[in-house]
Amino acid sequence: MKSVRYSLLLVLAASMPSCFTDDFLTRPPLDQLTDDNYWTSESNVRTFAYDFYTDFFAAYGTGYFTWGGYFWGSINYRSGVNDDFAPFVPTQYPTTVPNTSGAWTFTNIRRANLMLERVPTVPMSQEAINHWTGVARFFRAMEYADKVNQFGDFPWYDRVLDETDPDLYKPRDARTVVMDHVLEDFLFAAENVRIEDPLTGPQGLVVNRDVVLAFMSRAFLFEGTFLKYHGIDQSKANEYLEAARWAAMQLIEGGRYSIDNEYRGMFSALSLAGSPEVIMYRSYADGEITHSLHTYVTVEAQTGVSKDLIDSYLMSDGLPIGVSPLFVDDNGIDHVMADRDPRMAETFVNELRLSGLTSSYSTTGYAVHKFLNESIRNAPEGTNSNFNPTDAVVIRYGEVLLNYAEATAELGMLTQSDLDISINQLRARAVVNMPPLQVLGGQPAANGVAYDDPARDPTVSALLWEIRRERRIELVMEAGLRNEDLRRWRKLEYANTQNSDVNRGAWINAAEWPAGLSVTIEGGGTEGYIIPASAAASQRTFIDSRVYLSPVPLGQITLYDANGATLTQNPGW
Amino acid sequence: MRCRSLTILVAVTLLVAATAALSAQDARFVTVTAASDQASSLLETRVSLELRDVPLAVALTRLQEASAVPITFSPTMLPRGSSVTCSCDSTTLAAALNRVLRGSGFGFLEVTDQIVIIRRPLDRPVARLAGFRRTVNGQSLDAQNISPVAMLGARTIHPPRAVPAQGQIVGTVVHATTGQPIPDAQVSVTGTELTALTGPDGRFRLDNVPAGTHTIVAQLIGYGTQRMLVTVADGETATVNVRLTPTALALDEIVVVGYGQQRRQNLTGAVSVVDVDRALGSRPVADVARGLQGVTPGLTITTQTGKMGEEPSIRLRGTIGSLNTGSDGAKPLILVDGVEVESLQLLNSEDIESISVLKDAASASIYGARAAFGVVLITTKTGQRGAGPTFTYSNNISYNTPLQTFKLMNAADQVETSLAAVRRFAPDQNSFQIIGITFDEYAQQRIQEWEEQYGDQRLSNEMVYGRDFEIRDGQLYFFRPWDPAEMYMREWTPQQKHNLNISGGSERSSYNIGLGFLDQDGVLTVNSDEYKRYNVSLALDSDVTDWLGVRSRFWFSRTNLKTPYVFQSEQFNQWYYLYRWTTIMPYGTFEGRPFHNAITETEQANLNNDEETFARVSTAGTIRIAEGLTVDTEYTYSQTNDALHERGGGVFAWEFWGFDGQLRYENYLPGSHNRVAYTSGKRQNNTGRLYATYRNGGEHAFQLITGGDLELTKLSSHRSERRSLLDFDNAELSLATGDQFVSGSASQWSTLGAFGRINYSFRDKLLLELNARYDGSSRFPLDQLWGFFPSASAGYLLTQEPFMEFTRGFLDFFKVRVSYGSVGNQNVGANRFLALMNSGSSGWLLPNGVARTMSTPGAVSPSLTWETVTTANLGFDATMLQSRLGVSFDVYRRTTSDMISSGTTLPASFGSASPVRNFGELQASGWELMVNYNQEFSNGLTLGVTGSLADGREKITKFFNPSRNITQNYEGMYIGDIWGFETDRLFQEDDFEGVDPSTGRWIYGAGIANQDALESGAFDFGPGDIKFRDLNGDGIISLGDGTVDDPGDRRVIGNATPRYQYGLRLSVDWKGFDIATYLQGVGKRQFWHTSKLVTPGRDNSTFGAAWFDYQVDYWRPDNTNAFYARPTNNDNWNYRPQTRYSLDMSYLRVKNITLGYTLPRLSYVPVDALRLYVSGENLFTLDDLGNIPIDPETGVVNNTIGASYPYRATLSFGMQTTF
Repeated sequence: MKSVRYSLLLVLAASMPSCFTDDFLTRPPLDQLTDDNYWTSESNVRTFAYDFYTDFFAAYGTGYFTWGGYFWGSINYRSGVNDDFAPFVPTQYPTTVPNTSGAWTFTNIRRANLMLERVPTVPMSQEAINHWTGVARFFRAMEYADKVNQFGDFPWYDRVLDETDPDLYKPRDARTVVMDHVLEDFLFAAENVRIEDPLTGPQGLVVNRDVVLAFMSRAFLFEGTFLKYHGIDQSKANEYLEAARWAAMQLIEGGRYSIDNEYRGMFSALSLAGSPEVIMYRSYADGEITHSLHTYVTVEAQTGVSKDLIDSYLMSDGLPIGVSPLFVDDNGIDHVMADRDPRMAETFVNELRLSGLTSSYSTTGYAVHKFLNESIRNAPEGTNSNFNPTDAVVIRYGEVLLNYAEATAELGMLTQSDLDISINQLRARAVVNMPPLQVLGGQPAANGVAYDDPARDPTVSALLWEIRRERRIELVMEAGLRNEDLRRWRKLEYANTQNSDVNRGAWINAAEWPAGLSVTIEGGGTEGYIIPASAAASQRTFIDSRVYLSPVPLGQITLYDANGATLTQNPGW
Repeated sequence: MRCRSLTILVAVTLLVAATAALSAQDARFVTVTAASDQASSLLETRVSLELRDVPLAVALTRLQEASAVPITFSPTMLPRGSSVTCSCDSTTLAAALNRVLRGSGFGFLEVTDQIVIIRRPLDRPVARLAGFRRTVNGQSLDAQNISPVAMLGARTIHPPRAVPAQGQIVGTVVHATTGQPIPDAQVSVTGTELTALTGPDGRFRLDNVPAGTHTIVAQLIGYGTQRMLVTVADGETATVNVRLTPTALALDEIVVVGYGQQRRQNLTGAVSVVDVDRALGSRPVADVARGLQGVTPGLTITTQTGKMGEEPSIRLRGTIGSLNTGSDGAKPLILVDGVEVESLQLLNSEDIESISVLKDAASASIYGARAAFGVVLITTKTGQRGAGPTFTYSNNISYNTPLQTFKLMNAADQVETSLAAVRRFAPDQNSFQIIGITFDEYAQQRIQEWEEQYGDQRLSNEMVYGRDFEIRDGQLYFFRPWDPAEMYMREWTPQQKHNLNISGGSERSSYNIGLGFLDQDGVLTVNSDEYKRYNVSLALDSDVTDWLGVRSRFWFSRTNLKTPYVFQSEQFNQWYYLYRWTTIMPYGTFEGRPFHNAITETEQANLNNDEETFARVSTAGTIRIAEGLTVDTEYTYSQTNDALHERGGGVFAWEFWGFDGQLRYENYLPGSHNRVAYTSGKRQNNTGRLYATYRNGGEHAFQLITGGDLELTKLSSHRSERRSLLDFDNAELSLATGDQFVSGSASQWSTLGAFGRINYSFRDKLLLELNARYDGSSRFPLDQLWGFFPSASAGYLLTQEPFMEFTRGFLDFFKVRVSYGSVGNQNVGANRFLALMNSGSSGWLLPNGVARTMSTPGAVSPSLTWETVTTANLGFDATMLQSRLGVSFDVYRRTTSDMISSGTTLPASFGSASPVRNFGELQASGWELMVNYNQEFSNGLTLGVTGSLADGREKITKFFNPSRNITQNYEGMYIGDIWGFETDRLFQEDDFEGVDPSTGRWIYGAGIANQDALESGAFDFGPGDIKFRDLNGDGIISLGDGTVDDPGDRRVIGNATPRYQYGLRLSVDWKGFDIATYLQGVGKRQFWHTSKLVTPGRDNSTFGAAWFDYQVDYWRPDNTNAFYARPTNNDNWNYRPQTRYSLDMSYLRVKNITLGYTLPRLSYVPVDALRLYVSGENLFTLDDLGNIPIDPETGVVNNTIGASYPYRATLSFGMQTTF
């Protein structure tokens, strides 16, 4: 028996050391890959690229956001200040320098640079390498353009930094230096990104050369006009405006896009596939990816648009309300909407929705039509919090045409034929059918009659005023563009609310409405314009031009200091 | 290299085994091994005798004579008057003893060369005692390791034996301090069967002692065992005087420790033992963890809500342990029969034999990498050999009632309050709509009228148009208030527990079978949730040969939780929605059909079915190589399968949210809820162990354990979902036609370790323990797989020393313990040393579904290694006042060094989180006190008091945050610190000079600190808003630069760590009645949370969300002395973290009161023991939360506190019976 006992012991003892190997402890992750084993095929690169999409092409976003997240561009961290909307409590300009800022981030820059470094190592054709390099550079350019837009000067990095890299504490590069790099990136992308990449996905949903060009026109129109109106660098301003114009021209000459017969249809369709005008869109579908914009249009209260915006719509004769004989007054929504640019009826409903009388009221009475899809008007997916399925335009040919017209005008090169291939295409849209914009002796004209809008900002030329008006009307409520426009034109004071049309809504006679009406009427009477922001403390006034640029977060400045480097603050902060 | 050192350790193990095996022939062992060679158990001795109605003492004496086996018992403690009848015909001694002792309250125990009769608790079956011989590790205990608790003092009659050279020993046994003679003490000569009992004068006599030098052992319950050397010459009489020192009862317990057992008296580490019967017995708690709350000092058990089946959080000495432990925090390793269990929910409390908590490194380190924050050791019941079957049945029937519900603010007040908030920014606004309901003056008036007219009537739930609601000018008004909590929750919900235990054994084997059933009903009135648990456990032990013992355990558990499918946004739950809106939210019906609300959704929901099945099998063997030397091997496999069946669908109701002029009866939910999903998870764990144990008694007693263990865990999960059900009532994958979604995950980890431990004891006075462990974990890079972690502890029984004489009479026993050592922490997150790319949804929808994408690989430090958790522990155990009072105290400091954290702050330009390294350090320090007091009065009344009190805090002692920014961790920070303002009071009109007409803003009066820095947007501090105290006296209230050095006017206003946690149990037993109460509480804890229950309006992003009745006390010009500030909507300004609204979460809760009665044993009832009891749980609570009806134990769920599953009070009754 003892021998059994000891042999058993021996077997046990012998089996034990065999367990003591490193192999037993080597347990690589089962459902994750690493930087070392990921970069093996083009399809992996494609998968990697999708992570950028929702950052740059957020469109209506997902989940909940309050009315305006899309219109004001706050989905992209931008300020909610503009002259289109008249909320009860206007967004104020920031007054303090934050310690940290979600916008002062280099996450996407690192990601794009990492992709740029990895793509050439992936076994695929040179054409594919060029294409994906182009895509990575496009994303890097998008990110930097966005940073310059917000902060001005910004450190430029074209490689992935390791934690000991001395350039971690690099000073900010001048915005023109950064934008020169951005221009190089865009040009490379415009040359190398595929015109179509069916493998990547259906056109309109993926980055292709046209998407690159469209965003290039937007980015450089911004930068060109910003440099110009903020007096930073006139020659660079011209160079960038040329770039914007060139990019737009490529798309116009490419002939792959045309004006969609529908206007409202582009903002309410359940599917935007097949729209000739939409260069890129974000797809939404019930149960998969949904948004909440439609719910705000149907059942939630909404921040209404200002009288300032309403008044800027032309009459149907192509003339501003201060000039056109067609304009009577704005007493009642019928008067407001009569004989106007048809885009008004496409954008606003033909009724006032007033606070106290409906839960889907508008702060100004004017309520939105542009994003409404009638077919889901009462359906759960059209009214239920964040479950809306309508597709969203990311960028469209219409904007490219406006970018073209404005860049050309800013370059002083605008001719009637430039207008005819751009703005007049928009006016010729089937549902719009407005008289073309003409140039007569350097003045704007409609139906052969030159005019000068009495409401014009005297510092802006009459023709440019009309080009800017066209942009405001055509792109109204889209992707926070109005705020960017005001900033690049150095016109934030347009958004002042004190005794301004920006803080006026519809004209009403309270006696004509039921007793529950709950609005403040100008002057305290029973007739007059609705004043949405009635509290004195709520008014917004532009005081300091520092707000054109966001403050650099204090924490980063301190951190640079602590490491013997200097990170400069923006002026005025 | 690493592998080699492990091999060496294993080799050492074997060498020790071999040496010991050889030395088994050594003379020292001869006498002892002889016994084990001839028969494996004295209990197998056959006896034949006939007893009829004799006293128990007589019966035992007869049995002893008949079997020639020494049976030790204390005649004075045996029940008088009871008589025993027994007829045995060549039955085993065990069976005979079982028959004789049945129902006596006594059991028996085999100790090397004798049988000891010992008292057993009333409600424990005889079988429970068997565990002492066949321990968890199969080591049989020799007399020296058996506590004197077992030796009740004895009178032994010895069969005469002829020995050539022999003498006599005589002497007295006296009390060490008083010198009084001690009767009934047992005196024996080791290595012989000679035993005597002292008489009333303390005298004893041992005849026929072989000549030579002997160790004599004197022992008696309640006293420390004394050993003395005596030399006996042939034909002479040696005289010995023995002094016995009293000890507290608690010190004599056998305590389960890592890989073995110890007498509590000999413990050197910080180990707490849970009195399982007292903590868990006859309490209507659903799971073990809830029952342990407050019982063991240092062990913190908290729950987030009262939800059934919810896993309580268990923490030992601190909260987080390390910055990297994630949701586990400082969670101890929980071992059941030596193998980890994920969830204590699976364990039936009736199956538990013992629970020990190993708190310091020295005690826990033998378990290695996973025991960094201590170990909770649970052993389960086993059967007793040679005992007839014992059946134990217990049950508990209880009724639960919610402890707190919220009263919403009266609807008319709510309209006024919400309007006041709206008017803050829109002064002329006199109405608002929320989810389609209009609130204005008309509504307010009608609500008041309704209240006056119908408020005291009992109306049916059918709502009458025009009376209860109205559509007027295209707007929807509701007037009738409801109490959603009352409609949603049942007042009383039943719960039942049943347990059956069958145990027994043959001569060489034993078995124990446990069956358990728990059934809990939830509080919902409609579609009620329910929780069920089924347990089966089986323990088999057998001696296959005289040198090989095998053990097998089987444990099966299934839990089943059914809860209604939650339709509202997944980020919240129905509790949130129940308290989200005002009281006029329509909870009634119209035309017999319900409205859109949380109750309707629950009513029409299908029940989700969540089933967790756990199965574990283990086999183990003990090879007895020689006396004192055993080799053990164990292997356990466990598998947990979790299956969740989500059964969505739709809800048909009157839809009025976003009212557009008409009510529509429809399914208002989007297609994403029209779904079915199956989720399954699997966890497989393999645990294996091999170790050798060698023990040697005597003056220099020592024990050596060495061996190794390994563990491998694999996890995987899978989820399938399909949309568009053909029938809402049948949510099955095959009955759905829409989009399909699948996802899954898989992971694994492993650990490997070799360990060694030496225990040394010198005359039971000086104790020393050394541990070492060499650990490997898959959590680290290849070149850092291994870590070496040593620890040591020592104890000194001061009362054994002559110089402590002066304390005698007061201090009976006093031991000082000290320990120091380290354990590696591998709970630092998986694969942190790899540049991982995680797969995830891009959120970008393509025609064939949402595109997947990969995250950016993070920046990693290649040299990550173990965190080291070092514990220094100093403690003492003392008994006083003739053993009536026992005190244990520990003070500790646990340092988590090399804590993985960012070692530097990189600028944002790095573009990624700073790579982590072994940089930080966290220190937990605290103390623990445990006090027992037991007194038995002459009239039979027994009083018992057990109290525990502990405090501990965790502090960051090293962390890279040079600016000491308070939003991050910083050196010197206590975990849980809350930075905030000191609330001065509410601003009043007098504090301002008036309003600046140009800006519309209030101008501060003279001497009033300016608070503008806290404003943002259009908000302007004015009368009724919060006035903060200007702590730094600069006339400006500010946030400073947000650092410790300049926090503005903020300071640490509290800490969320529970401090001064205590438990107190009081019990009285008298003539079969027992009454006990258990109180538990937290002495100090603050909590900051901005839930609308705490800070009105703070998280109400929409006007008109619920306010609560107590919140009506807000500032108005006519209520300037209010508690709450003037209402605003979405108020970030008034409700910044501050003293006034910080929650004081300290509490004292009467957790349990039990009244029981044990029926006297009646000869005509075939039941051995029967106890009936009534018990109440969570009966009273004292807290300092004022009128905020949040349970002080509640945590944050779904980003809100309070609006969650309610805690409940329980009334129950039950029985415990053995037959």
